[in-house]
Order: sequence, then structure tokens, then C-alpha cells
Amino acid sequence: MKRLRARTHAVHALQAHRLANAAATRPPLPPAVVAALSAWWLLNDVPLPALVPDPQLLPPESMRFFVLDRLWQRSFAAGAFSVGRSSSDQLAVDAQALVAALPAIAGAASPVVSGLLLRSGVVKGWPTMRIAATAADGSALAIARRAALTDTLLLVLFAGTGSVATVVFSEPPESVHFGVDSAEDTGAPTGTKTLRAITGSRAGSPLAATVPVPLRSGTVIDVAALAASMTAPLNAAGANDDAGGSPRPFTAREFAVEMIKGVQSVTVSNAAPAGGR
Amino acid sequence: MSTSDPSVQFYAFDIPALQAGSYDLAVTHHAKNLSPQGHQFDEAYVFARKIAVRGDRFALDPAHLGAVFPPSGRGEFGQCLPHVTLLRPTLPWEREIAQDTLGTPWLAVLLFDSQTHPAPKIQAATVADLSRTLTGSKLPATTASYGDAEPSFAPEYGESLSDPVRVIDVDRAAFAQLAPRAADLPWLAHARQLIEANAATDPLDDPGHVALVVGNRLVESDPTGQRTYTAHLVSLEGLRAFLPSADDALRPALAQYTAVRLVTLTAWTFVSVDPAETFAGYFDAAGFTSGPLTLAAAAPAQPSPTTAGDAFAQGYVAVDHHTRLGERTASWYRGPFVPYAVAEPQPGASGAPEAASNPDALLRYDDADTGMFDASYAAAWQLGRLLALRDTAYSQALYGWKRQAADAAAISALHAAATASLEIDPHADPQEIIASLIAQLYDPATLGAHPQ
Repeated sequence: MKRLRARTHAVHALQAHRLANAAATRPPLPPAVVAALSAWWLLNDVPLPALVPDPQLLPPESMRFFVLDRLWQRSFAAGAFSVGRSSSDQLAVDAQALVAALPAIAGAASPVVSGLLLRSGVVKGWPTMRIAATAADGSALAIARRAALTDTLLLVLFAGTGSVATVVFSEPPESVHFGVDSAEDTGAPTGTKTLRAITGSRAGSPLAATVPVPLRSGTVIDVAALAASMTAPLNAAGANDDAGGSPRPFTAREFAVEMIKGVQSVTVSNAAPAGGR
Repeated sequence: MSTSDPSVQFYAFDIPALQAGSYDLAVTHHAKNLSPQGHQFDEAYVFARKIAVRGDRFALDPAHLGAVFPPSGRGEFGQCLPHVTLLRPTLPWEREIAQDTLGTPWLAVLLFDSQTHPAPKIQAATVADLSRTLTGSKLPATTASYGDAEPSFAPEYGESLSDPVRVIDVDRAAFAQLAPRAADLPWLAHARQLIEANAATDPLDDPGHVALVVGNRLVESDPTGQRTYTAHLVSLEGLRAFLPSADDALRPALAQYTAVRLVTLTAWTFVSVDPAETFAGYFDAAGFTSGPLTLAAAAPAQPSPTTAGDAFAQGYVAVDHHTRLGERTASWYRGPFVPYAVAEPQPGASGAPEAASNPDALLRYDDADTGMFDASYAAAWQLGRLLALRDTAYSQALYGWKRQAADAAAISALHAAATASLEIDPHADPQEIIASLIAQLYDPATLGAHPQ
């Protein structure tokens, strides 16, 4: 009698125990599995048509903001986690393990919630352009993933507590380039160079002084003569003085600062969707 | 946040501690009797070593080449000067255009264009072809090169006469017009360092200490886009005698030649067109649009599609759907990118994807107006499974873990069942468990119940 009772007891205990204690007995997920799931969480390897099912969603020369559908990501992870499941009994255990691993996969501290798709010639022309995004509350968002899906299509995913509201695109600082005044920049006539303050409170900002650009032949600049002509107006404006107020030497680095044409930057805001029904 | 206005520190030059080249290092140690008494001796022990400081000379290590400006391709670069960024900040000052010209760079950017100064063809040559005095030189008699300006020109340690180089033969008149004068060169290179790097939020923002070599010729915009510019980063090592003089008169060193052969370290072409193709021009163009990712103008905040119009606004598109039963129908699909935040079921709640045993469990039926399935999550599940199966390393690791987990669960369940059937606290001290086992074995009541 006692044995029979013990056996039924054991069967019940076995079933109940498997789920209740799965968490305690489960070995930790291999790092390779967590790493792969984290990469897929950021939609690595996902073919473009699955991300953007209709090309009309993304016409040429356009930028589209989005938030991530966590349910889609979880469905994807659940599909990826279903591999190697041999019995329905395992489903509940797997589900428990996957739910427990979700924070590690999704980066709980700084979840990826939003992003943008940019389809434009700038992606090809400026592959290293800088991107800085802020949320609606002004907090900076980190870039969780940045990938050129095609030549002209850039995907950026942002991590932070809010979704992206404003993005500043700028030419990379290393592509700060050099040149002389052109009509688009300053309206100044071609053939001159507007000087820029090097020291003092106005450092970096343009001065009223311009110098003519001496040319040798065609558009080849007589560089040494141009450099020499800059010293006097700069010193006259006190724009290259040391702390003591006397002029500093004018060398290649001061010349480089003078010759910079600034980098361009553009701010794009996520227009709030017009209110729904 | 200073991405749009990073702080950059400029340096006039960044001269290496040792310039590239071969050095003889000799240490002489004298052992001498300084006292007037005794045996007089003075012996010298000489320790000699040859050391070579290698640096890029006939080719540029790709790891040392950073960005070039203007980028290859089309853009609006009017009134700009081309430049090359070098990731080795000392590189422009590692060699000299003549002896004792430290601080004058040996690199220059020459800018050719298809209309006034056609770009010379890049030719494959060897180091021997750079000086007619070297063995096996195929330098034409009318072309001047490094050996004619600097007779001691020869391969350095680690270089050989047969090393391949890429050269351009620049017409003498074009060289006189385009090449910088010796006095220009120091102004055309500088080093700089990005101080406030934004690496934390943008992985591309590498704090760079780099050198720049800037060209001396302005780019002009051509609205027709017919004018192709070609820029070459060339070596001017030892060539001071060839560089144009202040009056652009013919240099005596070039009198008997018609062309100058230069080593080109990198070259790129670009076209300067209308102002719309500037960086900001792309964003300011009338055709450029930005907004949420939907097919409709406005995005209503509705949880699931009820009319086709709503569905488009919510980012859905209608796609062909082959059902499990072989039917063909149209279903809604949208990717992971949605125009507004979507509610998600908590893990464990009904509809949570973790509990789905197959993709069809995630099909949603829109019972309102359209009567179509929403296949988004089912498709995501299926895609996840397919990508997982393709990734052998992942699927093997996952399968191994699942077996381990199943084994561990079975052992633990067995232990629990055994302890429960014997009515022992599973967490009890093993000694107590054994004591209780023995007590049960010899319990007269239990003994009596056992079959004989």
C-alpha cells in the first residue's frame, strides 16, 4: 500500500518539479548563444525585404524614423530558440529560459527602442558622417547599430530610454577641408579669403578682414605669398595674440586654421505623427 | 555633445625622432692608462651596428592612408583644396626634399583635370626605373626622375631594385605650373589631433592623431559635370632642384628633359558639380522627405488594422501568403520597424511569442473589417528559426545546452521524487536522511507491509 502511494506521489512530484525547479537546475546559456541572439535582436542578418517589405515605404532621397516592435523581435528570438526542441514538454522549459535570458539579449540597461533609415546619396558620399541623436527630453541616445544595408541605405538603431526625436548629421571632422571663399559660403567674391580669429574670445569665428588669394597660373595658389599676407591683418585685429597680448608666430598650423572651410551639419526632426483617430 | 563642433588641436609639423633611412651606430670604448707610471696602453673597443628606420617610400601602407578629400565620385567642391589624411602623423616629415630641410614635407598633392592639365597615366615600374644609374633601369632619356635630382638615390635597407612602384610621368610645363614651390611646402602639411572625441555614442568617432597633406590648386565647379579631376599624392623626396622657382622660370635641372617621373602613393578622381550635391544639399533638396515609416501620410495610434487605410498608416503592407493548407491569400505584414510604439504581451501572458510551438500560433486574425491575417509575427518566428538553422555554431551550441538542461532537470526531478516518496526533506542533512532511511527500513510497520 505504502509503495503504491509512493509511486503516484513520485510521478506527480516529477512533473511538477520539472517546471518549478527548471530555473534552479538549468545550466547557464552558452555565451555563443546569447551573443548570436543579441546580434539578431539588433536585426543583423535579417534580409532587407523582411525589414522594409515595400520599397514605397522608403522612396529615394528620404529618411524614415521608426520605433522597434519588441514583439517582432521576441517572435524572431523565439523562432531562433526553437531549434533543437524535441518534445512539447520542452516548450515550457524553453520559454522560461528564453524569458529569463531576454534582459541579457536585449540589453536591459540601455534598451534599443528606435532608429532611422536613410536612403540617400549622402550614405555613399559620406560613409563616415557623424550621427548624433537626442530623445524628446533632450537626452543623448547611443548608437547601438549602424549599418549600410546597401550603397545608399543606412540603418541606425538608437539605444536609450526614449525614442529618437532629433538627429544631427554632420560631415566627419576629419573631412574638415580647406579652401577659399566661395559665393555659397559667405557671399564674398571668389578670389578672397576671409580671415578667422585664432586666439582670444573670438577664436574660430570669422573676422571682418579678408585677403586676396594670389594665384600663379589657373587656380594654383601661391601658397607662401598667401600665408605671408595673412600675418599683418591678423596681428592688426589682435586675433593671433598670446596671453600677454603680443603676436604669436604664424606657422603651418595657424595657416591650416585660416584655410578651413567649415563642416556642414544638418538637423532633422522626427515630425510628430499627425494625431490619429 | 560636440559632434558638430569637435575640438581639434593643430600642429605645424610632427617631426619623427629619427627620419627614415639607414643609420650607422658606433660606440667606441677606450681603455687607457691615465697614470704616467707603468705600462702605457690605449685600447679601443668598437661596437658598430647598422640600424634602419623604415618608412613608407615607394608605396603607402594601406593602414597609413586615411580619408581623402574630395571623396571619390561627384559632389560640389568648388573653391576647395584637395587633401589626404595620413593616419601616421609623422609621415610627411619622415623624408626630405633636400638635405637639411627638416620640417619641409616630402609629400605633395598634385591636382590634374581633364580640361587644362590632363592626368598622366599611372604606370607600373620598379625602383630601378627611378634613376638611370641603377642596374636594369628603363627610365627614358627625356624623363627626369629622383636619380637626376639626387645622385645618391638608391634603395634603402629592406628595399630592392625590383620592388614595384606606381609612377606618373608629368609633362615639364605642367609640373612647373602645378607643383608647389619649395617655399609653399611647409604650409601645405600639418598634423592634428581630435580632442573631444565622441566615441561613446558614435563608434566611428575615432580620436585621431593624423597628418594632412593639402593641395595647392583650387577646384572649380563645372555645372556640366564634364570636368574630371584627378589628384595624386606624390613623393618629392630629393626633388628640390625640380620644384618651380618664384618666377616660374625653367629650372636648370630640368633643361634637358621633357617630363618628370614621380612616384604616386595614392590617386583618386572626382567631379565637382552643382551645389545641390553638397552634404547639406542632399538634405535641403526639395525631393528629400523625412517622417515616420508608413505608406500613409498620418499614423493613427491604433493597435491593429481595421481598415486597409489604417493598416497602411500603421506600416503594414499586403503580401502574398501561402498558407499551411496550400491556399493562396493576401495577409498583412510589417517588419520590426513600426511608426509608433506597439503594445506587447508580457512574457507568459497569452499571445507571448515565447510559448509558441510553431509560427502559425503567432498568426493573428483581424476580425474587424479587412478579414485578413496579420502574418508579421509568424513570419518573424519562421525567419528566426531559419537563420538559426543556417548558423551551425549557434544551433549546435543551443542543442547542446538543451540536452544539458534536460539532463539536469531529469536528475533533479528524480532526486526530488525519491526524497518525496520516502517522505524525507530533500534539503535535509545527508546524515539525517540516512538515519531516517534506516529507521524506516527497520520500522516494524513498514517491515510488515513488505511482501515476503
